[in-house]
Amino acid sequence: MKFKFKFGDFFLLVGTLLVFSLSIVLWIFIMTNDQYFSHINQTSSVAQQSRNRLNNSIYDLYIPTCSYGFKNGQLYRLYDAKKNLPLEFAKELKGIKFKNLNVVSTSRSKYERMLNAPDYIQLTFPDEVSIKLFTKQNTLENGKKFRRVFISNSDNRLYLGNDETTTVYRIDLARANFTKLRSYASHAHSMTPVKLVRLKDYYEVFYTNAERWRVYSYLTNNQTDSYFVSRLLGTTNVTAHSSKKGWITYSLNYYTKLRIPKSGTKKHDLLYTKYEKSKNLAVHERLLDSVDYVHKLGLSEQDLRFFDTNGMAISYTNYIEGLPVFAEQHTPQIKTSFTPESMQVAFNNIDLQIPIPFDGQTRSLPSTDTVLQELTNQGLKRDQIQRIIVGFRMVKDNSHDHLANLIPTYYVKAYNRWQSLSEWQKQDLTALNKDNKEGAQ
Amino acid sequence: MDRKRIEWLFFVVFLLIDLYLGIEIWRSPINLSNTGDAQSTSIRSEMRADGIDLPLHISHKQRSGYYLAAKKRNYLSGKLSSLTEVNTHFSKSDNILTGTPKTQVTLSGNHRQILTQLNNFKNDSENVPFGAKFKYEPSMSGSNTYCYVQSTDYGQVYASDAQLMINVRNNAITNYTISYMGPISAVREPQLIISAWHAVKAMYTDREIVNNSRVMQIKLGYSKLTEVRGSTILLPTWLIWVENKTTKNITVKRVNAFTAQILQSGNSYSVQKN
Repeated sequence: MKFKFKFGDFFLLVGTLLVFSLSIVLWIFIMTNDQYFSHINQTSSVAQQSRNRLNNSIYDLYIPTCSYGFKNGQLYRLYDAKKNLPLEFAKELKGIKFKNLNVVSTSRSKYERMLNAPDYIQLTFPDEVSIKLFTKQNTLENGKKFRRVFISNSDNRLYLGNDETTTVYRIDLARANFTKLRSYASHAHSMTPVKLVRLKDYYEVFYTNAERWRVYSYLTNNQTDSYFVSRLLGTTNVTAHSSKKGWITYSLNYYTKLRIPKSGTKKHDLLYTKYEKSKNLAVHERLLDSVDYVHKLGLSEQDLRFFDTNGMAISYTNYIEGLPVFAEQHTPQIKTSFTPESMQVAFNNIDLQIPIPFDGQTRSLPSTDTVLQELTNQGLKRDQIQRIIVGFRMVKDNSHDHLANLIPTYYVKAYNRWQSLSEWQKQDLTALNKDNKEGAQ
Repeated sequence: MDRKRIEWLFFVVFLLIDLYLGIEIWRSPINLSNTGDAQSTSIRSEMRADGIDLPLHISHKQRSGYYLAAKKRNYLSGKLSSLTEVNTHFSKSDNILTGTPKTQVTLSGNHRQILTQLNNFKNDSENVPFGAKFKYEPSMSGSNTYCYVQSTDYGQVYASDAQLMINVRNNAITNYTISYMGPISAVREPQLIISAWHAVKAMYTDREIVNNSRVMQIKLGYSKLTEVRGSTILLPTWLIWVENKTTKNITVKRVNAFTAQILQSGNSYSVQKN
């Protein structure tokens, strides 16, 4: 038998096998790519599309909320209705290249000298954030945290301050230009005299005089239960269970639940729980992880900012003209909590939607020293007071269904809990001090 | 059929299938990475495939914008007595003033010179009340109609309540209509707004830009949102001029620059072509 090898036949066979295999590969690629099908299926609600489309940057939630500067040796809280100074700073940061990070000092006296140095504009975050989150660079990461940014007269460096450890870091910069920010700060429309006083954890801003604070109003919006159920649990295999205590619990499976107040209860606090083993995350990773859940809720994020953290729980709330808004007496808008077995997101479903022009209504608040004196006289131990701030309490306006007034109020954090001044004044502090003492033992 | 013919047939059929699948993948919005640039390129190519032309450069830069408010008052009626050079008619219900020059105002020269003459006319408080607060808007003007929009410290207002239209015929001003919102101020401090590119993308994903059309111009301006407690609330919007390539009709659509939502009902209107 004679064997004839023909090159033409061989290449035809190889070619046919190749085009056949390629068609299988391409077919699999198309069939397994979600984005191809998400393009075809666009039936979700307009609201949901708009939320997804907005696609806020993770870092938009982590920007400073207050700015301070000196004039004639006096420290002032700076505010300008036409120029949002912290926002200008955040915009400027986007083009900056961060270089070396060095520790300048760790001594308390040097830190306090820096706090009172008139050469710097200070911008503060509500609580400590990681340097990595600020610079978005791995090279500078060492798990270091800070709360305060000092802007000097030079564009080549920034100083970061950690109130708790009284550490000052210096970051060298390239392509930075803070000229505009310095000009805005020196021409700020409103300047409220303040001083910085060391409390348990931080240097807190103390208003030295009694001040008249504006009462702001907003038209509010709250999404339906089904909106949150579909965003957090999806639309299929969701079961509902109604309790006698005024809650409806929606469950996707045994591990994912959403608790919603029944309509008519006048409550607006929802609780999303996902049972899963906690991951071992670094500080900045935990902060970023919680932002994913914040985005998932689909609440308005226009004024939403990072507010407070104790490491395992991270809170976000709306900031109006530099002050945080508390809903339901003393709760922030969103609180994500991570435990070894689960993660929870407690949130309020009232969105501040449309601001209403200021109508001249103000509320007078005493100086912070007076408030501190009142609290200590009442029995609250000074070394347990972690924070004293002015914030807004959201109160429904009875003249309109969807109108809320933001009433300026002092809020105090002590024993790791936030409460309004009036709530602390009603609190049985003897029992609390006793519980705390027993807990410490 | 012999084996060789069958092989050839398979080869050709699968080659055609490969070509088809390859083209499908190339045309589809599949992203191989999650970076913003890749998404941007993908949406651009998707829009190109739908016959949508975009301007060469659309900014990706985020800016800041304000919620603004204007007190709802009858600003024009108080100015009627000072309009000595025009015959006036004021409609209280619409808050629109119509003015007809008492003596003929002729216009001459090229387009630029005509605009200068019109500016002089509108800036004279005996002709037009608050005329100096209005700025020429070429993209909303026609061959015989010159459109001006109310200008503020924060930007221009694009609303029927804040507009001056000067009508011209046979090189002379025939009349004008004006509506004025009054002094406008910021309600709160500025906030970050979406970029122009983000607004175009939002419109496209919301199917507000039809196939076979051309995005002509993108501008940031203020639009009316609602009226509350006797004030008109305005918010920053991206105004996007879109021309239908077949009919040549131009429509202006608006995107909420805070939320990237499309503003509906009465907020998009047709533009007379020059």
